[in-house]
Amino acid sequence: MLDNLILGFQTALTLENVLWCAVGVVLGTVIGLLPGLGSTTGVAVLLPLTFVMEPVTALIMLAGIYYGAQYGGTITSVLISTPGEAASVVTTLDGYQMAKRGRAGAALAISAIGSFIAAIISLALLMALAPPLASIALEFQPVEMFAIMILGLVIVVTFQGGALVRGGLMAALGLLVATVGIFPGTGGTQRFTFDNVNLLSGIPFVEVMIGIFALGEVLYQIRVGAAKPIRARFKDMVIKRKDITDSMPAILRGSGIGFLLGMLPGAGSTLASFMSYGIERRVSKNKANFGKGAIEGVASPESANNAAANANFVPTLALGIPGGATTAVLLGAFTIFGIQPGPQLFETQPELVWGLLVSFFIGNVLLLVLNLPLAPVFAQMLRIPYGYLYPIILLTSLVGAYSVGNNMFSVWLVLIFGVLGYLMKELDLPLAPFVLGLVLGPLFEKALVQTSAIGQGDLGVVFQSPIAVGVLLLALVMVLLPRLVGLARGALRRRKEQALVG
Amino acid sequence: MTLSPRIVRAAFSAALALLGLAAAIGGWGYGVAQENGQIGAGFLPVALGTIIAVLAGVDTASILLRREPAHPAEQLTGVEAEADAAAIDTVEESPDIDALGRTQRQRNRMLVVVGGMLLGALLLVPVLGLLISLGVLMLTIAIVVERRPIISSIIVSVVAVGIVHLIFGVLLNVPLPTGLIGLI
Repeated sequence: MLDNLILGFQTALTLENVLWCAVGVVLGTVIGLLPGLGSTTGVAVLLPLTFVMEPVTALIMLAGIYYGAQYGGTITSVLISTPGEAASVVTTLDGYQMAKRGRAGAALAISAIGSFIAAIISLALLMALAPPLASIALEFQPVEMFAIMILGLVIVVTFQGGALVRGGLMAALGLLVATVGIFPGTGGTQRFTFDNVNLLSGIPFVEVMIGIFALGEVLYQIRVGAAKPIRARFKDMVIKRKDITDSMPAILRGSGIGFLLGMLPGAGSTLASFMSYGIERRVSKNKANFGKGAIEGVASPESANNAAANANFVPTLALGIPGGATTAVLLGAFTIFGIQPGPQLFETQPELVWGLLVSFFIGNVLLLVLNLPLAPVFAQMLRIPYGYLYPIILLTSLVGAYSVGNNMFSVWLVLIFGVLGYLMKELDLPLAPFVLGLVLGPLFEKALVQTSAIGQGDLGVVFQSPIAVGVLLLALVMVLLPRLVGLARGALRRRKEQALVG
Repeated sequence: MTLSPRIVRAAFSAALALLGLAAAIGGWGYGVAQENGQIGAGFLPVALGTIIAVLAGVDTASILLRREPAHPAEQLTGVEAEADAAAIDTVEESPDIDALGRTQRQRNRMLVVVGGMLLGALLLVPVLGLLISLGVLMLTIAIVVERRPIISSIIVSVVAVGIVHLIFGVLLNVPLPTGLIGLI
């Protein structure tokens, strides 16, 4: 462990990597706070720029964008009640109320402090848990990996917040899009390519992400319209000692909840922030002020979403299964750089893995130093009229997409998936299951083909593995549990109503 | 005439159901199983196409059979409803008008115009080249759609195109299409 940490520091502390880490966190903060841009969009749009970098440097910068955006997303939640990130939605409840009472600075400061503490706790846990999990996962055969991927899909479908049918529909659609191209089994059959050579290697992932998250979001924001920001001033940034001591239990609870939920493959930071806020509202001494500007209502979800963002890397690095939409894009980046994420990564690429993990520490220190005094400066970005901003997003997205394959086919794909992304947002269809389905698709089919080969055509071989059966049972529980809890609550409510009537 | 969101959503789900059916039928043609009994190239498309057709069919039916709520807030509960209320709170006067004073109808029109302009810009790439087409798109959106001042719109567009050309064209050596006019 110590050797690995030293190796990680040696890798992450080179001038080049520290510089790109700083660029990543600053870009991430800006991306997170700009309405219509989120970490997934930022990573997808800027991914083509990293093709000329060393893989470790590129991943350090892209990861910096990811967790930098968690900080930035808070600024818009607090100042204009418009979350830059889905994970910051719940922060609008108390953060915006605090801002309206002239306490925007305290809200932003406690968010930065809480996020930092959560990041450090979750990183220590990530470093402790990911390697042993990867060692266990090394024993997994395709049968077990197939079961784990089903679990990942089930979790993202169950926890995405909408109806199960629509979540399942989007996951299946993502998996279906991933079947375009050459069949990974014997025969090499071309599927749904329509004699287009550009489709032989499948629908390119980066272009789909740019389409859905950049163009789709721009179109959606045009329809939604602009909100009026509250200005943050330097003198408002002062936070009282009492605010910090009052918030500390909420920060610690949020960190724990965030890490536990973020570790589940497919469950993202958004779920963690909502759960953490809900629990804090029940257990806090200050529960009466929740929704009216309680500082714990900012500290708790912000700590949770940052802890979850780091915990998302546990399944991503140890199993090769992304924890959320942005880690799905990062997983795509790994494969573009020719690195196969998964349990072998800790053995075959220790320099990359530990360098990346240590860079999280460096990045979070940089973010705290930047965000405590400079949040009002970042907030000035909100004054850039969206009328200038979104044409720039269109320009960079389309040129970035072109640069992936150096052909216009990529640009047209962005347009097609941009329209699809807009429709999905407009119709309230969940994006995360689609993205996870798309990313897991090739791995899922490969595991399916291998499982079929092991069972000589009989997929029932899955049920001969105790681990796979356990994982599939867990997936079943994930599907049934919320329904059973709902039914039990309904029965309880009806009984109470009958008792009142009686 | 404007379509209700319920109808649009039902139509989208119905289209997905048809897509699922088409994928299942197309997948069947690739072969569900190989001669040795192992799964074939069509197995996953057939399975996923069927799942999509069934789920989208269920979704379409549930949308059409559901009673339309009197107010969207009725659908939300707990924390989500509060988040929604906080967001609505930012638009203090009317939920239909945004901070720039645009109505929902105006924003819908803007969306169609920007979509059309984007399509037009991409069709012009073989003539003007990628960067100039997108630069013209930026400028047109800023001046015509967003009604920004002409001088600042020109400055923003030229600087943005210049920076993107520097990064992608010069630093990353991406061979950007220059079109018939062959400038940048």
